[in-house]
Amino acid sequence: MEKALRGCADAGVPNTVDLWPGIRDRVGVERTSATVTGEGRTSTGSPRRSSFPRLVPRTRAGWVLAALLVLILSTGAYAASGLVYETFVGELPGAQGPVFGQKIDQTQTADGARVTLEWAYADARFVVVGFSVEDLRDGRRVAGYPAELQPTMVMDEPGYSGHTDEEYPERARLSDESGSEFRVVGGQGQTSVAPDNIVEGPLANSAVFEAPNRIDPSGNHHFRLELPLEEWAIISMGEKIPAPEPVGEPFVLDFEIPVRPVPVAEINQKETASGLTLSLERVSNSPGRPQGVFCFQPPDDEHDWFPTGGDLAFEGGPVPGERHCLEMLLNGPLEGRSSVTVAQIEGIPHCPSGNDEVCARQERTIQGPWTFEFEAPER
Amino acid sequence: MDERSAVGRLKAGDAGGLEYLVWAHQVRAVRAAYLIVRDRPLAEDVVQGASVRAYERIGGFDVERPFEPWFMKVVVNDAIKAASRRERTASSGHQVEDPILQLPDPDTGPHELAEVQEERRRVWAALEKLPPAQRAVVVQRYYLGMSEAEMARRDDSPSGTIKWRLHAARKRLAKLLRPQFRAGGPPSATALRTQQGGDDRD
Repeated sequence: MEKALRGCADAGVPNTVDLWPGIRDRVGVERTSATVTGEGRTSTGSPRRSSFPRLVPRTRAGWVLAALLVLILSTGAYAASGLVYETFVGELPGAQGPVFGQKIDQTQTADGARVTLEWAYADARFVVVGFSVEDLRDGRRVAGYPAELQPTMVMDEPGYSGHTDEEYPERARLSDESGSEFRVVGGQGQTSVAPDNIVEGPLANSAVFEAPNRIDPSGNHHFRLELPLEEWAIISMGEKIPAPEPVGEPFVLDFEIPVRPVPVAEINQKETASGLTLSLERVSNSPGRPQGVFCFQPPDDEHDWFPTGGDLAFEGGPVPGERHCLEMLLNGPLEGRSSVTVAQIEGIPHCPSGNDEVCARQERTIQGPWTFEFEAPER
Repeated sequence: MDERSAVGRLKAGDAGGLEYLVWAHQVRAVRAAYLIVRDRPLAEDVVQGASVRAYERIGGFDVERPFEPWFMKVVVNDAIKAASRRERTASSGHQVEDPILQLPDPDTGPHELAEVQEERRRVWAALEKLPPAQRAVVVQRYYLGMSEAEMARRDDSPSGTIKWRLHAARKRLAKLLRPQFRAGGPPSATALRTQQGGDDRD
């Protein structure tokens, strides 16, 4: 692995790479007094505009990728998994009625755009909103390409909010009456695929925000959703994406909805397979993050043991204060009479670094399945 | 000039210190970023941005500490973010370059070259299937050579979380690479396990 990675890196980036001219221009240095010799100082290069801004278009697949892949292992961050995706699919433009929470149906029009906050859901930890963006102007173009309006949605990653603020001062934000800012942790958006495949009508979006601290689930809560829009070029496969153009001022949508407790059900079921008893202690069914707490006696002390597969997304971690218990993200939503299956329990050996080949051979798998059936907590 | 004096000069406002630090770390940093974002111009942008940030924030950096881990943490984090954004454009047709086709190793014989290239190609293709955060874990561990403890410290994460992420990355990589092993030489222990029903459902 090490050798192959080095080979890929060396092949992709020659050791003559020289970033200094570009950096020098970006920090505004006229000249420097450093004496630098050796490889890596041969080319002059030229400053290049950062390509970050043109990397934010949201496609449906992109949001799904972002939700399913980007955060799939980021413990503490939400991988939206199938839930919000299904929300989106069921809430295509023109669809009526909220999927979660309650219907809001608040519309604003400005700068040739119409934004409608269709529905919103809030529990003590997550707020989920569904909204549509409609372009009221014909013939919109960016860099010669047909263009459409998209909200500036940027996934906030734990610990990087400072960076995100610097790079995207104008991006979708949710705050509440206390002034707390919520973090974008998932969502989807609809977009046109190519100039000859442009979506007509409003584009549907959903977004999941995580509360910085638990919200008191008592009565109504006031929220403010700020949605800046950008014009995004609709390009064909293989073409470079031109930088998007901001459109007017952000839309500001104030709404008030009840905050529910996080829907949690105590399950306390035990199932045994291959001699190992696994218990599902409880399930949390927030649309922002459906997850289950699983407990079992580790088969040995030489491995770290994790439930995997079946209905579990590949993300989870220990539950503070609960020995031998792990909180695992579930693949999808729970509704009514539900079942959750764990396919296997995997043991990762305690290995010294640098011995991964040997370690891989020491991994153990205990085959299930362990299936738990229960009534899902109501959302 | 050595690194410590370069940091000292930079803290004193002398951009010459930054030039030295860029020169000293840029190749490794761009390569690490490249493995995560899979696009050289974007990798260079990431490292440029990280360097500018280092310039702006060097005041809070302890000169007694090594510069590289601090800098590389910013590079890796920024690369994850850049890769995440880039991959949201995946259906818009952003093409991923193939380094294997770009630069064959001239010192390797034809047969060996083919093997090396095939191995690189498989790993490169497998990496593409990993989400950026997972790819970064692989790069930190196998390219930058960081231990799990170092990664945990650098990410401010519990070691159990890092172990879990690494396991997840290895598992997915193994799954992605296994069919190649089965189709090729003698069955390895991993391949046998797969054939015996060690199905992956991640």
